[in-house]
Amino acid sequence: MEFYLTFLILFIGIWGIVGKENLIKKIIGLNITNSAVILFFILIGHRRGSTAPIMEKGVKNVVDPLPQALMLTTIVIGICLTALALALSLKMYRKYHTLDISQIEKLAKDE
Amino acid sequence: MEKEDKSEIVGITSRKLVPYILLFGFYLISYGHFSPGGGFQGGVVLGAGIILLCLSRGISLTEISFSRQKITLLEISMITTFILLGIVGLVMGKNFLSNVFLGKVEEVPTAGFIFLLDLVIGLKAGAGIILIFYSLAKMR
Amino acid sequence: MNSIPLFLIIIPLFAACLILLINFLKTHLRLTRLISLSSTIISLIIVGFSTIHILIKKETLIYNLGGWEQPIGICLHMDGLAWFSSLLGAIIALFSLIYSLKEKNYQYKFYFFFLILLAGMQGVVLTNDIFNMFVFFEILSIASYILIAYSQEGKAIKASFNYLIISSLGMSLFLLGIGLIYQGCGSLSLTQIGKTFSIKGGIPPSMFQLTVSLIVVGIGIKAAFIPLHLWLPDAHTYTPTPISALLSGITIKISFLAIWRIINILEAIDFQYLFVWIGSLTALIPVIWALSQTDIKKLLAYYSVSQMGFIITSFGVGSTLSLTASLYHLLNHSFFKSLLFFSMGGVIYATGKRDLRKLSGLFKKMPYVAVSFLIGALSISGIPPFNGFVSRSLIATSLKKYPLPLFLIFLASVGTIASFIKLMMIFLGKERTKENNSGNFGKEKSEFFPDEIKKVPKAMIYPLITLSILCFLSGIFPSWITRGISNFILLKDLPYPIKIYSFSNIGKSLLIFILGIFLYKFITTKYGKRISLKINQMEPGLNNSLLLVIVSLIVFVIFAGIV
Repeated sequence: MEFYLTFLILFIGIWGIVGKENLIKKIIGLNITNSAVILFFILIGHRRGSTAPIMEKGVKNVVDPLPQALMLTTIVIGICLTALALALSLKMYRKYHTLDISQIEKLAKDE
Repeated sequence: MEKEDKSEIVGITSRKLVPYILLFGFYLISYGHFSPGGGFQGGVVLGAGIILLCLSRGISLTEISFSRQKITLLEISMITTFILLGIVGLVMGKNFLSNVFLGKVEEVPTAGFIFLLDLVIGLKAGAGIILIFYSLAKMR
Repeated sequence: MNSIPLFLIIIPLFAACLILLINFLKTHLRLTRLISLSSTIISLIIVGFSTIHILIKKETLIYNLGGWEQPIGICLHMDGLAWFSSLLGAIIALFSLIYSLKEKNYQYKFYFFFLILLAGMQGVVLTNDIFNMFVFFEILSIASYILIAYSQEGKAIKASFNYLIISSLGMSLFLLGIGLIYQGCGSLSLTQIGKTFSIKGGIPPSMFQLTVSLIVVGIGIKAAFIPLHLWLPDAHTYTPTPISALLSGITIKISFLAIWRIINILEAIDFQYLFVWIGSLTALIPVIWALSQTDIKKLLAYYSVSQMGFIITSFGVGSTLSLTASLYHLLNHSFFKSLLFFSMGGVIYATGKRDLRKLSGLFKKMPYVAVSFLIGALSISGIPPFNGFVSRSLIATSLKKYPLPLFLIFLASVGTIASFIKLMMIFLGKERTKENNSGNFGKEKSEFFPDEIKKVPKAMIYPLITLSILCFLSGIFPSWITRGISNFILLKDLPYPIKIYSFSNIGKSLLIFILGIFLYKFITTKYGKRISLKINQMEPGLNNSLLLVIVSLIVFVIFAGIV
């Protein structure tokens, strides 16, 4: 059941990237897509009835810690991409004074 | 971001709160190999503390104590230190980034090589987040 | 000796950090250039050292990071394919760096991102762990987003933003595919995946097809397959010229080699067959757009996509001869595409103009650039004795069983010749002086005159000359190189001796040349010019490109199920 919810979030993110015309909304959609993939990975490593992977005395069943470690790297990459995309949209806003991608394309073609 | 309409409460509360946020960030970095946390997470909390200071006092005031040059120097030296720490493993005969010395995992200061790596990554991540904030806020 | 793959990645990274340290308080440009040049030369020397082990002794260099053994740890593998692409990367990076020393006054940040791009490129093919491949892909991408937007004009920033959105979406899909692989077989190292993730090993066929489709579409965005190539013309046009040559020459090839590796490991033969059709469409469709372009660099960028189509078609067939032809064409394309980009960069440096309607008669002022461009144009058109002829004949020979893709590739070759004759006209033709200022393609008046052309500096001519010699050499020793590629890199034997300079091949090449001349005459008539203008106006925007990505993913999954 949880896998279907994760794919629903993925589709919402993809709809945000493809269907919206505002630059900031596209970047938000990118973030949502990233979050959906991260949730999917963590869901893979989960086993029922297990606890968090902290090795104290007397801990027997732990969830799989490998996907969690991979997702830390992915979150870092997501932050870098968001920062870069925001910087690029700021520069475009300063030049063209609009945040709408179709207007920017028209203005860029004419210059 | 200037000081025109800041309320007093925000300024006083954030000034009292920021040292504890920084302390929490260092806790996350140090105990990262053993309990939830780690290098990058602690670094982001450190960065968030400084950003809170910027938001409440204004960037120009914060830049006096956490100036742009010092933070850039921190970031550059940390990334060079990371690669040098990896090469230490090479020099001592084992592979790149291998565990050079291992201690008892629960006691933090003697916890081994991974503590050093976490510290370096945490400081670099914090410095990076602060620099991103400074650059984006100055672009206007 | 086993630590050679490690040094290939660490040395550019360490040099990049050194550059930041040095330029912290005061900018030392000469020291920066020295450091970047020396680190690139050291990478080339290290790849040269590894030649003995990999080619002659035929062993793979394995290096475990951190001392953790397989299958837990991350390993770096350097086999024949990795050696091939590392060598190519190091050579083209060295030429780009030499070219960029005198072109403009690039700041220290340019060299920093250049070295990070180089480290990322070496890392993608050298690693044996699929998540590590994802991380190196992202390092490569972030460095290229910044370098594309380096000149900070409006069009460059828009091109970089387009590339960012499309490529990040693709990388998310790639990551989803990695998740499905991890769920299926529980390990992330490529050797382990090859043993356990297959249909015979118990994975349901639908999940296998979904995984392979996601990975192929995800990386295919960077390798410029046909519906996924819409970011490429803008992105490779508005960057500085050395970066254009590096991106077109190496980065799209490395993404393609990553797909090669993954499909070989997973043994997805059905997918390989699908590439024949994708490749032939990729070869033909950009040529139609390219015939109507007037910007000289954009024309070359469209041809990058088209030549990738040749490589992909040949990979799809799957026999030893076709795989050899694919790798040979990859080598040739790196050489002549960099050559073409450098010569066009020389023209733009000297005259400051990019529109080919306004340029003519430049042969006298820059003879070296003109001759190098001529050699590059002959290579890409497939005229003997240059290297394009050899790889084209090999591709045509290996496609004997597929007549329709062969016909599409034939049409693409005809279009290529027509375009390059059009480009050649900027060097031939009358020199414009103040008296005879009549336009070449219409009523455009020239705005500059021959005495205002700057002289092309020597540092930009040396890479041109070296690359022209390399193009010529790889064309006149075809059997050595073919046998070398198949024996040492693919580790298989060619079934029969190949004769490349045979009458039928030369005859086919002559036929394509004559048809190309006819096509060029047709384009320059009034009717042709009207069609060109209409095609030039059609530019798909960002939303349409993204929609095409999603549609092509769905089409892939459905087709993989049928085939």
